Formats: sequence, structure tokens, C-alpha cells
Amino acid sequence: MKVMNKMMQKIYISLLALVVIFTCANAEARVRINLTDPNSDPLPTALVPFDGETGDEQNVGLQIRNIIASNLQNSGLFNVVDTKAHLQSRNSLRTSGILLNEWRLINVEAVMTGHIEIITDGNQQRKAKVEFRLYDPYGSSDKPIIAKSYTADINFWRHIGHRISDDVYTALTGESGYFTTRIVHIAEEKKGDKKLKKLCVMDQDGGNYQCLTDGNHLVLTPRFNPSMQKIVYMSYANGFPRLYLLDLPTGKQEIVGDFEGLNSSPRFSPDGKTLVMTLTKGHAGNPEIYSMDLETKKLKRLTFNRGIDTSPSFSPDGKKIVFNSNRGGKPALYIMDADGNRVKRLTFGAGLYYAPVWSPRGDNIAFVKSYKGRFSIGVIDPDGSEIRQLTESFLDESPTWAPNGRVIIFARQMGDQTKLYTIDITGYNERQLITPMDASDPAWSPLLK
Amino acid sequence: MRRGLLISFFLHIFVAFFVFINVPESFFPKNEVKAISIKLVAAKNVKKTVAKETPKAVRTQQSAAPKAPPKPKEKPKPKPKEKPKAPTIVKEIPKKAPQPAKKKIEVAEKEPKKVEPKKEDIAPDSRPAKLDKTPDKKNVIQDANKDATPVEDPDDFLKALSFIEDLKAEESAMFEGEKTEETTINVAEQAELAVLKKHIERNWYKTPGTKFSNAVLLRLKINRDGTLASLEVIESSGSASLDSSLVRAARKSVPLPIPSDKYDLFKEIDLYWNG
Repeated sequence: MKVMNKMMQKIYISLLALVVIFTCANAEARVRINLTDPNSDPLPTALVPFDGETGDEQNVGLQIRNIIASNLQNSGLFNVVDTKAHLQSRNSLRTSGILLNEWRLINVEAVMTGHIEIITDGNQQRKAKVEFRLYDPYGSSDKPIIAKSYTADINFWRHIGHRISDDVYTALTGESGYFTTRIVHIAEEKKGDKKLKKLCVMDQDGGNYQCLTDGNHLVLTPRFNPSMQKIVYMSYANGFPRLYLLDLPTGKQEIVGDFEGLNSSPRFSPDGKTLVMTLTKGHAGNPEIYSMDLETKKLKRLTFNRGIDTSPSFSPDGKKIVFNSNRGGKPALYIMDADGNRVKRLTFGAGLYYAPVWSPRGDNIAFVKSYKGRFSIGVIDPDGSEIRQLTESFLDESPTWAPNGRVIIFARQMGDQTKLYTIDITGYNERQLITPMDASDPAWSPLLK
Repeated sequence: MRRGLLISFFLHIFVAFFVFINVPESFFPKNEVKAISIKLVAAKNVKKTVAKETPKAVRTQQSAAPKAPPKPKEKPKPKPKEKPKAPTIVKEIPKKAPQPAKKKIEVAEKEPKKVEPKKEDIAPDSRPAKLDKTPDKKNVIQDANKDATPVEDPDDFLKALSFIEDLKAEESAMFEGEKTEETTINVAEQAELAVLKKHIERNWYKTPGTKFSNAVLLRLKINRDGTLASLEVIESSGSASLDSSLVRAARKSVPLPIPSDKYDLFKEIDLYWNG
């Protein structure tokens, strides 16, 4: 009997389990659709010109709106619809606020509206107060996703536009923006037979162009420090290749260290306190990588190899350095710890690899690859697992990252011209960045705070 | 001594066996590991075409019902099943037979709109005649035998068809990754699901470039008119903008293209993005 009881118990339990399983299964009886192929077109977005009381205000409002429109459009991720397609008029917006169904009709996924006011304060300084709201036409309520306002000197209207662009970009993509940034580069001016190389800075979109040196000396490889207050670059100002530090607010220049031989390829650490560079001092012209504490001016040698070691670049956490070396027989990329230990080769295979730059996001390293006489910009995972080629031309060089690690700017030589180009890390949206002169050696600044 | 010899003899044989049979096997397959990831990409494309073609297959089989013989491959399967069961099934035939037949007609009407008129013509000619005869087993069998030897019984033929259909539905459901209870989804519904999927995907402007995005699961409860009764993010990607882009897509896709007579099947839908 006991055995029978146990048997019955077992049967009962297993039956119970079966019932449970079936009820669970029934509860799951819904259709599941695995989405695999989302729409990859740019996001349709409507930007309404900032509204103002006076004609002057409306004019500035339209210009700021156009800055935002070109920023978003150029990023390749947005399709800013023409204002002529907007159904809700300025008057309707004024009287009844935003009517989301009017915007749903033109199929936009986001709408920005805003208001501008020009105030003259006590010191006769004209200030623009710009407020904007970003709406989701398919949202559950009429409330904006974000609403912010900026007040600044009216001369900085472009800057306000970049700020709002960053806000909109972040709200819709989830990534930080890169529009409030500057790009330093070497501009090449042709004066008769002479070619003058100047150190110049501009906004990320080519605006606010300004040159910092007069072009009497050859300058190369400028780099921003993380606070954007300093630029380090290489110059032949005293006849030898030396590194200089330029303090932007004061315009003061100082030599980083007058070391014998070649001083080149400087780059700041992410905290801005150390500088890595290539020096040939004291070892028979063989380039080795050094790091230097900018406060104490103490120098530390990081590489000890008979091959050429150059182009160091820090990882965003400051713990590793990627660099270029021909110790394996030909130029390839290597990664080492920030103190020079644990060197590991990153690139293998055909072609020569140069000029590595670690992405500010940390997930990629950009480089220049030369293969069969053609040059290309590529990206590789820091663990070497995935390598992708983004561009190819007769000569592509000097890649540098936007602060959000999403866009790369590089110099491309075509014929006797060198111009700057940007490309998305997906490999799409390659376009030229218009500069007044030929430009090379770009370096993207961090995001302005 | 002998023992030692024997033991060493068997040991040798054992080692030889191990070396010749097991070791090479464990060495060779290592090279093949990499093939998997490459095949997956191609497979996706293939699946889509398979799913699209299935409705065609159904059509030809139905319209060609009288001509059925040209498909000998599928018959061997139903045949062996029929013979042993034949005596027992006979009684059930009148009840069961009409059901599969109706189902198939429904399927035909919904999927290919272009071919509808043709089918209406054919159906009354072929189907009712046979269906009416089903009660008289002998006649049916005889008729079938006269028409074409391989097909013995129209009911069995239909069964064979439904069997294939189920298989295909299962297969394509597996391939497309649209998972449901057992085989509740047939080819027609598979096509409707594909339409629904396309419809939502077209409206989904996924936040581009988020390389390491996590999976998102959005659960929709749907009204009879295709509007949304409720919408819930069951599994968040961790990125608010990615989640809300999918929510936007769902809201934008209203009214959802759902066949009104299959509301029960589509009243709850999970939208899943695998990161």
C-alpha cells in the first residue's frame, strides 16, 4: 500500500506539474514579432523658426534655427523637413499652442518650437534669450520631451544654436552631441610660390574661423587639451622641430621641452595632466615614446625598442596607450599600459598601419592604413576583434574623433589640394567640411562646457 | 606471463583503436567551427523567400487537386498511415472531411487576391462533388482509382496537404522567429504576420548606430479596430531614446493591419528587437 501511495503521489505531482506547464504555456499565447529590419532613413524632424515680437528677433530666430537644421542634417541622422511643409502656422502656434496631430500628418517624429527675445541690459549689452521645446508627435501627452532656455550675448547666437543642436541630438539619439566643439587644424595659404602653414581654429561647422599663428614657421600636429584651453603643437619656430604649448585665453606660447633631435606627435592624457610624445634624444635618432608630467616637467621613457615607436594616443580611461611601431618588421599598431608595460600587438595582416587615435567613447581606435599605394581610414576594436575600413582614396590621413566617438574627421589630399572630410563610424555620410583654405592635421576639441 | 602478454596485447589494441578512430575525429572538426557565423547571414535572406513562396505552393496544390499525381514524393507518407487506420477512420470521414476543406478554401480566399475568381470557379466543380460522395466510401475510392491511381482518397489527399502545410508553417515560423503556440499559425497567418512586421518596421526609425544596444520587448494589446488598447515596455534596452523610438513606431503604425476575423490570434503582440 505504501508503495502504491508513493506511486500515486508521484503521479499526482507530475500531473500537477503538467497542468502548471500548460497554463503557463497558454498565458504565453501571444504573437511575437521579431523586428529585424528597422527603417534606416534619417529621422524626419521639424524645426520651427524661433518666434519673436520684432522683425529683428524673428530674423535672428530664423538664423539660429538654420544653424540647428544644418547641424542635424549634416550629422546624417536627421532629415530636417522644409519649413514650407509645416502645416501649423506661426499664428496658430501662438494662439493655440502646438497641435500634435497637425505634425503627425506630415510624418515627423519630432518637432521643435521656440521663442526668442532680445534684451538690452543696463550696460547697453544686447542679449538673446532663446527658449525651445522639443515634442514627440506620437507621445502620450502634449508635454515636451525637453524644454530649455539659453541667454547669451547676441554675438554668440551661433553658439546658442550649437547648444540647442546638442540638446536635440541627445534627446533623440541617446548619445551626447558634438556640435558645441571646435576644430583646430593646419591651414595652408598659398602666397605666390610660398606655402604658409598656419595654425587655425574654427567651429565644428566651419564658422568662427580664426588663425592663431602667422605662418612664418612650419607648424604640425596641433592637439587640444581636455579643458580646451590649451593647444599643443609641433613647430620649427626656432629652426628645430619642437613642441609648443599655446594657452588660448592669454595667447601665451611656451616650449614644452627643448630636447635634442626630433620632438613630435604630442597628445594629452584624458585628464590633461600628462603629455605623451615622441623624442629621439639620446638614442641615435631612434624615436621612442615618452610621457611628461606637465606640472613637474618630469620625463618618463615608455618604450625601449630598436624599432621606431611613435604616435601615442591614450585610452579614455587613461590606463592604456595605443601607438605605432615597426618592431615587427613593418608599421603596425600596438597597445601598452600607460607606464609602458605589457605591450601587445593590435593589427596583423597585409598593409601598413599608422596614426592610431583612441575614440573618446573607448570602443574603437581609428587609424590610417596604407595598402597597395592607397590610403584608408579604418576603425578597430581595442581587443583587435573587429576591424572596418571606412574610407579609401589616394591619400587619407590624420583621423581624429568627435567627442561622442561617432564621427571622424580626416584630411584628404586630392591633386594639389588637401581638404577636411567627416565620416560617420558606420561608414556612411562622408562629406567635405568647407574651409577657406586648404586644411590638414585636424584635431577635434572636447565638448565645450 | 601469459596474463601480462594478454593484457599488453589488449592494451595495444585499445590504444590503436583509440588512435585510429577517436583521435583523428577530435582533431579534424576544429577547423570547421568558423563556418557557422557566415551561414547565418545568408540564411536570413533565404528564409524570406521561402516564406513568400509558400502561398504559391498552396495555390497550385489546390487548383491542381484533380491533377494531383505529379507529386509522388509526398504521397508515400500519407499512404502507410492510411492503410492501417483505414477501417477506423472511415466512420469519422464525413465529420472531418468538410473541415479541412473549408479551412483550405478560407486560406485561398484571403491570401492571393488576384487569383480569387479562378478559385471560386474551380472549387464548386471539384470539391462538392467529392465531398458529397464521402459518405459512400466505396464510390470515392473507386472514383479516385479511376482518375489517378496514386491518389486513393480525396480526404487523404487533403490530409496530406494539411500535413505539408502545417510543416511549412512550422518551418517558416521557426525561421522567421515568430514563435507561437505549437502550430496555431498557418501559412496565411504567417503572411499576415509578415505584413504586420513590415508595416511596423517601416514606421520604426531606430535610433541609429547604437552599437551595443540591449534587447527591447514591447507588448501591445490591440482593439478590434486595430488601435492600441495598451502598450507596455516589458524589457527596456536601457536607452530611453531607443525605447521611445519603438513606442513611437507602434503608435505610428495604428491602425494595425490585422484581419478582423483573426482578432483572437492578434489581440496581443510582442514586438522584440534583439539588440
